[in-house]
Amino acid sequence: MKLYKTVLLCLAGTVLWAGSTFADSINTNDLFGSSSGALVEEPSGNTDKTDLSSDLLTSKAGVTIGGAYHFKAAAALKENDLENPSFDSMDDSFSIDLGTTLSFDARPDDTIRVLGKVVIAYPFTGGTFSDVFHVTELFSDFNIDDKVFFRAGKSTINWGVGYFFSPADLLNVSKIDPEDPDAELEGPVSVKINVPVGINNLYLYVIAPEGIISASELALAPKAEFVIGDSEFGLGAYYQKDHVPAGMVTVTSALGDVSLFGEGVVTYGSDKTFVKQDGMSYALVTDDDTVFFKGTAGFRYSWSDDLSNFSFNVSGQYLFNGEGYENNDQDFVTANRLIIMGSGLVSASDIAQTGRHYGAGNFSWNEMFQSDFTFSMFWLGNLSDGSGMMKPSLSYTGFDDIDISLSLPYSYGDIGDEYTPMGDSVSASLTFSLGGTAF
Amino acid sequence: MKKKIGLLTAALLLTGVLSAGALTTAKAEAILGDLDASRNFSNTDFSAVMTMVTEDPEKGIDKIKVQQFRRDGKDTFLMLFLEPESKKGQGYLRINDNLWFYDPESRKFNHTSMKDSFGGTDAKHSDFRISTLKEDYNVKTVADGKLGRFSVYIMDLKAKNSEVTYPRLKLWITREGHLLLKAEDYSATDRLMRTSLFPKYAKVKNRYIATIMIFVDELVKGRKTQISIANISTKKLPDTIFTKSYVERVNR
Repeated sequence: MKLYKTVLLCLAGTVLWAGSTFADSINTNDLFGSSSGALVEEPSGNTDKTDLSSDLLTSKAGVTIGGAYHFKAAAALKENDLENPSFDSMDDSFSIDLGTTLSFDARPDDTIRVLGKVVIAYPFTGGTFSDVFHVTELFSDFNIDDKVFFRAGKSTINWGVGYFFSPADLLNVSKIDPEDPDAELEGPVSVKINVPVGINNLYLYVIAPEGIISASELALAPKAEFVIGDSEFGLGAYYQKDHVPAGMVTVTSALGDVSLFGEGVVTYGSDKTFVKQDGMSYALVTDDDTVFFKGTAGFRYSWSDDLSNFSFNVSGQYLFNGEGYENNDQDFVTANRLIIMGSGLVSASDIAQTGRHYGAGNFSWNEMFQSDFTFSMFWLGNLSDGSGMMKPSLSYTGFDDIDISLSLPYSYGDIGDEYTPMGDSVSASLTFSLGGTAF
Repeated sequence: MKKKIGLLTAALLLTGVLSAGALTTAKAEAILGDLDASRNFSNTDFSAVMTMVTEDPEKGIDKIKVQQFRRDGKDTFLMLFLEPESKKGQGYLRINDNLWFYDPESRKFNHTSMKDSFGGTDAKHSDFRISTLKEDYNVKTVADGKLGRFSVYIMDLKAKNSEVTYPRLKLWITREGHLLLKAEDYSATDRLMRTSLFPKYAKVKNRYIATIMIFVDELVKGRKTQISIANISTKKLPDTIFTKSYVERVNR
């Protein structure tokens, strides 16, 4: 009988609950009752004269100082001998990533602003200013009659649309790190001229390469961005005397809730130095009269269930690298990669991306079951030589100002392959982010 | 006999649906048109500062301040984050069917979806664009009701297309003045997802702007977002506001 009553009470409770909503906790009589005051009120101030758009372009408080601070400490164990793993053969390491970004923003009136950004990074030693302080941006924005807009100085350039790889990004000094694709890139000293034409944009970049001593060394890069339907296209070119000319096309669009992007780049010649087998040794060659093509396509997608128990972000990208080696040349580079790298005769960028086909992807399950845990799986692979890395991570953000992350990067491939020059390996890394913030 | 009772019941229910609100479906749809017209600034620009306070039982209180610019005549808007520091400079630019998200860290514009939640709040991008209720929904039922001291029409709407954020809406609209006081938003499986309350309006140039909006998450108990709107302006905005260049320039 007691059980019967309990079941009945539960059923009654369920029926009552089913008819109520969380919004019922808000008293609509307080909101819409007689004591709630007038439903319609007059707005304060003169709504015809306030111009909020120009307020954002000026700074009443003078120069604005801001920035960000981060401190990460990471301990890692790495095992290179996966066939006979043991604690004795593991390498342990500890690293500190401590730094701050400081910026100033000055807007004496609504037609001009000056922005500077400097990065100060640990270790704070070294004989020169640039060993400790690194200026990543220093530029001014100004315009002619709100029709032609200029950005002059050193600044990041928004050029490609790729996420993990962006071969169309011909202008920035630094390249996208697939493991940290959202990181700010460092741009060159340049003058950007932008003319908006309705929804479309025309750009011209005049770029001063580092160490420039003659006007003839200036590079020119025009670009047009235009929208057709719900897709945006970009067409651009790059020209600098004594360097390979390049043309590029970009597209971003959407298929339902999936964001799509793609890039294609054609160059006449290559700035890379190639390695060619020469008997028992090798020779370094350049190529100025071959047309090289690079193309990439990818997607980004987010999904969450109604209760946010399953909140997923997925992204993936394929890269065709026309500058990559193939067939016997690929085998030769693989067999001799350590020797070539150690020779000092080629730069790091010459011996990077030696394959023709690449892939990258990331899957993250954010705040699993509404908890403070996030799981992610990152993958980067050279599909030509079969090497790559996978990095599962579990992070916890339940403490204020303290984030903890455990990751298990696994590099797979043969000795000499791009991502496993020393052979495959697995690591365990525990990272603490302490007190990082923007200000 | 049973069949006759069934028919009678159906007829009574149908009569109730159509007559209880003393409105035909056509008149109800005309009210939706009035509602759209009263909320849209099709002939002038609109700008304001929105303060969004989200209460989450797990994560506490989160405050976001956003500068809003709208040009409803061209279905265009720009939303710029002013606070907190971690989001400052981020922005959403919508022009026609294109919505870009600007990330000041990478200085990149990315296409994004209108159905996404706005800045992690309970508001959606579609809450800030031109109102197209009459165009996007059919009125299924309408009835009379009371909400607090207000006599209201209670309308049940079903989406005409899959582009809308919610396939079914239930609206409480004042009989006098046709102002939206409350909305319930349902998923495709008819699950109540969100309740929205609009207790305060400002009248600007014969248009009505909800100056206080409360969005209650019906899936996570205790989670809600209150939006307050201030610094309302209908001054014509320069065309350059709705450009990528402007978004880049205001970023600090």
